[in-house]
Amino acid sequence: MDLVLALAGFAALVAAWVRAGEGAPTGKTALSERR
Amino acid sequence: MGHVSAGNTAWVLTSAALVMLMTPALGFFYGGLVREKNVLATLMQSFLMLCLVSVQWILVGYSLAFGHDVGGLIGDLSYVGLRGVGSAPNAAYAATIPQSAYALFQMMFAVITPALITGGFAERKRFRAFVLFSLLWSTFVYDPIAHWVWGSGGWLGRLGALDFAGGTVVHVSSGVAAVVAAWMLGPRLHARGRGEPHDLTMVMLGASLCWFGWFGFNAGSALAANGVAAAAFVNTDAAAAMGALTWMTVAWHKRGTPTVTGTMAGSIAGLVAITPAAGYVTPAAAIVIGMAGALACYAAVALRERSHVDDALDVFPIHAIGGTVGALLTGIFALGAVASRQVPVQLLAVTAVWLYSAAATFLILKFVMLIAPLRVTALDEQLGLDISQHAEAAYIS
Repeated sequence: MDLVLALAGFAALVAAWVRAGEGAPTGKTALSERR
Repeated sequence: MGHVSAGNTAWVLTSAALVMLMTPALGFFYGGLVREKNVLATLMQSFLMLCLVSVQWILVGYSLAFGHDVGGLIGDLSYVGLRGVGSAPNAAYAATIPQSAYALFQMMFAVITPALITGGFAERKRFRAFVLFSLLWSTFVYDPIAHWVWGSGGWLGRLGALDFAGGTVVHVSSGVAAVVAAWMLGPRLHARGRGEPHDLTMVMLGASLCWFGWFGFNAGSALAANGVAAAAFVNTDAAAAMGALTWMTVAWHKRGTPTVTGTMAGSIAGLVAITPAAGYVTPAAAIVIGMAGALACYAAVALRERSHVDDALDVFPIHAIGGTVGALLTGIFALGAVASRQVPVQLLAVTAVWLYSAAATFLILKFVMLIAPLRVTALDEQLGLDISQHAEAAYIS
């Protein structure tokens, strides 16, 4: 089960990277914003 | 006298040195996150723990944690000054290395734990109060908790609680203490975000060296150069990597950019979460634990942002929550454990440490307040701790 979960988790991340935008700088510097 | 293994001894001594490096590395991690005027004081708080707790550990700390059991709660004073702790192994802890090597390895855990707390009260704690608090906290919080879990006869260890390298003993105890201290000191004068983080290159250096040192922290906890150590080494790397990737991706999705700070925070979250499980689980489970730890810590940071408690460097969300998630998942994924039986034990251990650390930290801070104010004055806070507490400045401009 742990291998299935690990593969599914990693696949979810890869799918998110494929869909991710370039992003725009927010201009905010707060630590919480950066995180 | 047991047989001393040269290979095991070499590995544990090397691991102790790796763990030692984590404390100044933590100083760089925290130091980069604070404002420029507080960087030296922040570095000093970590470095001082290396000095203060090293001496405390030799004099009394090791004995309280690993001395002969007294009621399952604490060790006796038989090892005060490391008397009788020499080249002969202590089979109750590590049968193939000198007990002095074991004491040294454990010393480095005792050193970094109060150093972790410093992130909670960063940029406002008076140095004198900090020194007194740290000495008392190490003695009356860390040492008993270490005995409960790892000491021969400790009550949580006897119940079967699993904590391979300190998810509960180190991270939950310090994370809970940090939020109590942050609450008692009150928030910093200036809102978050003005001038912080002042140097992300320092943060990157600190996080990377923490990851490096964590190999000793986790793989060294096998207390032998064997397959368990190798498994813990692999799992440590897997969880750190997956934690970083997870946090980076969530931040990218939520905030629009894959932030450097978030990626580093994620690696630390993954490392914290795998700590209690490192020697017990498969690499695939380590990936799952790293991901779960990062997701939980990310959510906890988001909740903390809505709180009025100024846990300045997110010690509670990363260490208390990451440590708790890791401890519970250890009960699920540990090879050979039955989850329905192990998870309740894990939950009991975590709950006990949460409650004891919170209550004892509160009482210790109340006691310290009788001797010295916890906070610097408003003017000193505006000047910065580097100048007001140490009369030095990090950067000449």
